[in-house]
Amino acid sequence: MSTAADELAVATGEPRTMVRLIQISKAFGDVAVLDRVDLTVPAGTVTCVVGPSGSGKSTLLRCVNRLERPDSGAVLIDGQPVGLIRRGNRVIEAPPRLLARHRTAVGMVFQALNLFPHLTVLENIVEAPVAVQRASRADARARARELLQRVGLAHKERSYPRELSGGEQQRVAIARALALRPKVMLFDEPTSALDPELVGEVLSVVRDLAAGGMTMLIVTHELRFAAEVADEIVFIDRGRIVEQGPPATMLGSPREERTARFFATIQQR
Amino acid sequence: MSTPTALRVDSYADARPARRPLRWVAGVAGLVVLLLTLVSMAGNPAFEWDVVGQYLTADVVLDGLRVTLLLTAIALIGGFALGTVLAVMRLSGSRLLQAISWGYTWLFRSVPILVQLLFWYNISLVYPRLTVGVPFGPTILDLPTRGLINGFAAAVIGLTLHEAAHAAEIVRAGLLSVERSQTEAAQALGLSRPRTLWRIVLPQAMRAIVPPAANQAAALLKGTSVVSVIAGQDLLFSVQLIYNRNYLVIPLLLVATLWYLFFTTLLSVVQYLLERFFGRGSGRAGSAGPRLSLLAGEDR
Repeated sequence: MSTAADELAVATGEPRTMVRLIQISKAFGDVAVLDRVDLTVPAGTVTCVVGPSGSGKSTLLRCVNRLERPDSGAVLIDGQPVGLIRRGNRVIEAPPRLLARHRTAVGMVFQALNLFPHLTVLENIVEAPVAVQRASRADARARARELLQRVGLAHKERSYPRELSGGEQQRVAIARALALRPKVMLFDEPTSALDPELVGEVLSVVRDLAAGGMTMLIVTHELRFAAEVADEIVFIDRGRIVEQGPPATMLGSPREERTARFFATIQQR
Repeated sequence: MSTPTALRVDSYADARPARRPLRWVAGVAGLVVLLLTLVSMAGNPAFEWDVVGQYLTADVVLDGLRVTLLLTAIALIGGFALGTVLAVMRLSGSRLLQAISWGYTWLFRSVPILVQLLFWYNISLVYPRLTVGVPFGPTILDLPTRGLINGFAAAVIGLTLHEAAHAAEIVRAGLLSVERSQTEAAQALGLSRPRTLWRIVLPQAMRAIVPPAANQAAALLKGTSVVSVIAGQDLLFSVQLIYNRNYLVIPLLLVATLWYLFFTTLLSVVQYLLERFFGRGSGRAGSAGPRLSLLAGEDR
């Protein structure tokens, strides 16, 4: 028996799951930072993770590309576990080389950007495609120039990161992450290092990416930003997902009292 | 009521940089002392500058110089190559590798270089024969150690091993000076560990490595003079050979000094170029820039 919803899903092509976190737990010493977190991000959607500082939201993001090694649980990117392989009946950690390859499916823009200061803008972007995907230098350069064009920095390819403004540096960081043609983009507090008037700029870059079908997972504490870009907002507190839903529902009428309280304190500022 | 305020604002607009008279006095005093020293050196017949000129490019001296430079180059390159390996071992996740690296540095930093040189020179007393083969199996090569280890070989081994211990700490300090977030960014991009080290971390570490490494190179250049005790025919040994015959001690020591001076100067130039190269993108590319402005004070 098929319901109307099922038929609709088949007709429109139910979006496949791009990111799936399964029972992710992580403790630092005695402190449980993440406690059996399950999360699903459908392909081509934007999910924003919000929560008070120390709630575990950055750790959650870092678990996705295994910069942080979860104590238990797994992350699947388009069905492929990150940093894990199956040996017979058991799942074990993948060797470093394989983990590195898995990571190329995930682009990450760090809070502090972490551009390579000794490399020019172009070299920053070209490095990974050449080293990891064995792209020819010429191809990688052409692709890098195309990306720089897209973020409006074509004239800055010979500059060093330090010679750029904060907003420009961020766009380079985004271009660098996109150079590997990742399936997912992770953003850690993309607005925190920027002057308030530049927030709109990030917003438009994220929107462009979303329009191009990119799946994104964004950690932020800017509720207005989240409301503007997100298809889904996830509220996390003390290492657990408290509730999640589309922005209108979450901001308008949250189910949980804790969510409402958090949103209220944030909006007062 | 507003007049006095306006006056004061005007006088602020005329603000001038502070004068620094003491700086001038100190500078002039320094110049005078330098000049007096130079005059006394040039005028004192005991320095015998004509003898200095005569021996500066003598064959024996140049042969000694060649040995000194060769020893310095081998020990520096070998020492830093081994030192880099030791530093990476020390920073690796393996407790065993860490311990080996630590132990090496501990041992070779503790033994005086002179003692080491004498030890390697006399190694044939401990191991009379050098054999290459499968352990507990057949022997492929068997040679008398005495024939292999001459003064030069002992000097190369001793200086390189000694240098590596110091280089290991210099390189480790450099690697630690690079923020961990750089490694994370490289990992997130899927770069392998060796590639991350070679392309991302080491080039940035070089900024912290070059100045102490240049110090180490200068110390090594002069330090090679200790090999004269095991009949290594270096620069100092060569001039000693000459003044033991003609008793012109001071001018011949000056000959050696001038050569050491020349090559440490060359080293400073190389250091400057390396600092400029590895400082690219750091906002202090021309390292002479900030150094000069430090001397001139922040106000200029």
